[in-house]
Amino acid sequence: MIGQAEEKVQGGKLLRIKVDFNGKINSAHITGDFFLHPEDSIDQLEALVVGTPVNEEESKIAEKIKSYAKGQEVQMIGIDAEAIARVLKAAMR
Amino acid sequence: MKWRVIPLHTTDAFTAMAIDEAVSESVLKGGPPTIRFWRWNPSAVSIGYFQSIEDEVDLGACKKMGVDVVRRRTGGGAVFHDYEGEITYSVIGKEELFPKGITESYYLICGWIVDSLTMLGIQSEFKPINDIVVNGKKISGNAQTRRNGILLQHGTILVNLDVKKMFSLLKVGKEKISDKMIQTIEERVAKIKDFGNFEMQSVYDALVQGFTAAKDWEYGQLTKEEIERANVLAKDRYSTRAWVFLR
Repeated sequence: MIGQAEEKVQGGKLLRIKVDFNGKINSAHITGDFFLHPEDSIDQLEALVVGTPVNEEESKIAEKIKSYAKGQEVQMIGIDAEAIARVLKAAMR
Repeated sequence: MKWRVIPLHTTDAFTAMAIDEAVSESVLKGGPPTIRFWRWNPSAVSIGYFQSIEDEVDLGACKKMGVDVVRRRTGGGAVFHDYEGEITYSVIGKEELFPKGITESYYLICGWIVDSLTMLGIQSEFKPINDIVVNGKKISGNAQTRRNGILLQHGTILVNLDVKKMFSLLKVGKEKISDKMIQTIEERVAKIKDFGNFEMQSVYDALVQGFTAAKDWEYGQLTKEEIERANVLAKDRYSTRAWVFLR
């Protein structure tokens, strides 16, 4: 199944996620007018959520993204791990 | 090290993005920190690195109107760069020349624009994340990236705006372009022409003053190597379908 959701993050930017899922996430496409440093870490971020079960708790997804960002020194501006998890879950509803 | 200021010039969208990268590479190799001013010809739409081109741009309308479309290597939103409507700048230098924090470095560089606008009698302020506003209305959008210890920030200063044309090129929603939408944008966006009949030259003169105040600087041009490298990057990356349609 393909799902899509978007959110204008409060005080931040637009985040839009298209997700292909079938019990678990097969692929995710994250777009918007946010900033992410370094920019090409978006590919790893998209790969990171692949395999996540559809019923995974939002907080666990956010935690995984946060831990990745911290480990790789990825800086998000205008979005955050919680927003990505929230929009991802919304896209699979 | 002395700043190099490359005077106002005109370039196409792909070469513009390629020059920013070529200069970043030369700064990495020890070249001077650089401030560059330019206008886009043909007029163009640039989209942020993370944006979906199909979600943001009416490609058919752009083609019809001879407007180029390019993806930036910085994040941020889609912008219509009208040749008659704005001046664009780039600031490229080693990270150590700027505050470590991204917001703080936006403050610094955007402060140069705020100072330039003050010289024109326009009171503005930096509004995080990346805007400069006059009475709450956006007059300048800016985008920054850092790579290999080099900071690149580019942005636009709005001189004039054809809202109807902008709406016809950008996908702004499913509704038809209504007078109300145009009015809404006009209430949210400020342009230098709102504050007087300024010529492009006087806006540019103010920008040079604001950007160079208290700096050791000189006018310069791109080097032969930078031009050659920019031509390669424009051809092999920025104008390719693979890059423009990356996301």
